[in-house]
Amino acid sequence: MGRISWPEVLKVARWEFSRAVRHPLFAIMTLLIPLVMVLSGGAGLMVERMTQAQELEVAVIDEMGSAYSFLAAHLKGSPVTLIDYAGSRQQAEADLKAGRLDGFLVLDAQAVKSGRIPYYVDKVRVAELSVLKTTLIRALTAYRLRQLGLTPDQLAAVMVPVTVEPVPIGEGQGEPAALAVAPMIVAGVLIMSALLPGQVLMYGVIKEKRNRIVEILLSSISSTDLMVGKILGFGALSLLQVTIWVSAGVLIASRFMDLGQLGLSLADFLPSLPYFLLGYLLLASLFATIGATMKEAEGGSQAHGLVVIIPMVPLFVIPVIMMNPNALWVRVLSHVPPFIPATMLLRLAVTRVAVWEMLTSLTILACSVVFFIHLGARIFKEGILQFDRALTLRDLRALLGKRQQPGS
Amino acid sequence: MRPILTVSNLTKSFGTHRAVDGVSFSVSAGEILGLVGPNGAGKTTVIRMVMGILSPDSGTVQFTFDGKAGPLDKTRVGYLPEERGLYDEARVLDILVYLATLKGRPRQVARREALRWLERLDLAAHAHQRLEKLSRGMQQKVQFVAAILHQPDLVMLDEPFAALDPVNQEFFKDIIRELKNQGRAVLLSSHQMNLVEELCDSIFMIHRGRKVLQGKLRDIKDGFKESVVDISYAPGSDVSFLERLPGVRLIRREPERVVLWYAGSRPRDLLAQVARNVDVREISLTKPPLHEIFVETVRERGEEVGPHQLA
Repeated sequence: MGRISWPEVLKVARWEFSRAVRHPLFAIMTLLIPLVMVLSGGAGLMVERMTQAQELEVAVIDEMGSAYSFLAAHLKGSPVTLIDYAGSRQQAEADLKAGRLDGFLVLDAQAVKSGRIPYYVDKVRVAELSVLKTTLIRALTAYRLRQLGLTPDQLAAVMVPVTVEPVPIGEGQGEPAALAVAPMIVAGVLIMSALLPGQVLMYGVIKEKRNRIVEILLSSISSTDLMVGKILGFGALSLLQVTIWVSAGVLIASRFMDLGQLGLSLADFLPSLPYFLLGYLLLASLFATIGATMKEAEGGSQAHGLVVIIPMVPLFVIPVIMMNPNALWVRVLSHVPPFIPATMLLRLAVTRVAVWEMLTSLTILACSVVFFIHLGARIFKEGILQFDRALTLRDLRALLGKRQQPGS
Repeated sequence: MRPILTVSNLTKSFGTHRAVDGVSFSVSAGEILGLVGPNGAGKTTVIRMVMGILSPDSGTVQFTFDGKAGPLDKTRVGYLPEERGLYDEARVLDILVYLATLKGRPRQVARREALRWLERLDLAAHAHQRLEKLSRGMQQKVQFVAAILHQPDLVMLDEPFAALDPVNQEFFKDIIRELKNQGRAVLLSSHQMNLVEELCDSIFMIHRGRKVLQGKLRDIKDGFKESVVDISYAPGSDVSFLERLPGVRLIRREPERVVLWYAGSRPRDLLAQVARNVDVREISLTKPPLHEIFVETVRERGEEVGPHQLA
């Protein structure tokens, strides 16, 4: 790779940044993505709250005689109100069809013994069923124990909920939740910051190739300076976008919860940051390189998908990696360039990674970034003059086999 | 005068096709060198190698700025490529300033000079408009300015007159002459030889990657053995004897007009014979245009130039 001229790189970066930031697409996407997230999150929250707030009146045909009074007392204060239905099952069905009842339960000895309680409804509503299940299961369990002869005190003792709480006996106080959350946040930010600006970067390169401006640019600066400048320009754009999103997210979240409870500090992000920065550079150099080989945006969008998917492959096996973060194959994956950022961020979330492993993986990642920028600059320089067609594998093989001239 | 650009034995192949084969020339300060040849002759490949955009297979390109020989200093070279384009969605002034800063011009200076150029080009009102809003002719003017805004010592113009209307052609010619008068070296590549002929001091003719002719335009013309004799005569004159004269080749015959090529060494004798036998209204004896010299020279080498190549 030719020597990088940083003043030239910064000129390109500044130009790319100012052009992209003034583009209407930037404003639209920057506002649209959080808006969609807020709306979808808000909708979920609203549904949850509506479900929780929903009062459910359920008629009970108590064929055992003692079930209704026990359950009604047990469910006092819950969203479910039981009504003692004096009529027959046929009358209840008629009332249900006429809309006079939301639903009714039939409690007989067989149902209580088997634990399969029939709940008659006109239409099954999942949210209602969920509320009924969570409240009724505990009450019915208590009723069955009472039937077995437990005293109220014994019953209260048995019904105390059981939880498992980890108690560290070493010197440390255990892993704070923030340490696990920070790498996951960084992984999410990496994906978001690489996705849109990466796509804009790639299409920008394709467009420069199509409208021939690239020849003027290469008559002024080296292909490496141009490529690095573009990557840094779009990096700054990503950073701005992420800052806007995170700030908006923090602002909105702080209205609903005490963020201090998370215990997150900037220091929690430090181990993840090198993977974020180098991961971004790796993805961006891949996007720029692919843009230089493409003729049309359509081909670029397919390649864009590939560039996004390959480094994200470790995310498809999150549970397996999280269960065995130090397994041999996971450690190997942590040293294979395209997979390093995602794998290491996942591992950092669930385990303490040895310092030597972080150093080796970061070294390999840094070397692969340099390699891909070098490779990209060569492909960029040769491919970008192929205005009317996409580069073929044969072209790539030929140009990579060529000796590089100095100063190019 | 000391050359600013010296190209020696430049060779480039694409696969089995040799696009440029042993090309050598130089351009000095205050000189316009025309790199001429038909489409596909290898002109753009030569220029791209000079600009470092393509790497030559062999040969050298040397630049001499301020008396010091060295490799390409991109800040001192202006380039208008054949394949043209700028950022459509960016504003005219921003584009000019950006490209000039890449060439090492300070931002404020570039801005001031860009505004001056836009004023001169009658584009000042469009300085803050997006390029895509401008007409094609206006865009070409902006592209031309982008190549020379940073006041380069060497200007490389690849087919600068392509697709230009006559008014803009004249405008560009004026600017190119101005660059020469300012002491800048200009390498002008074109297949439109009539335009090159008007501007250039020296010529490098290229065909199929190889040199056809090279030298001062005057020397090339003087050295070409044939002359064009254009005779207009009064009705009733018999000019059929002309075809039988040694060294004469009839090119075109129209009513009361005949155009000949004369390859003899005694043009004065020819003119005397014409004057004796024909009632001449008008007669001229000139060297043929560059285009004809090129075609004849290529033919003499046993090669052909397709009509589409000179279009």
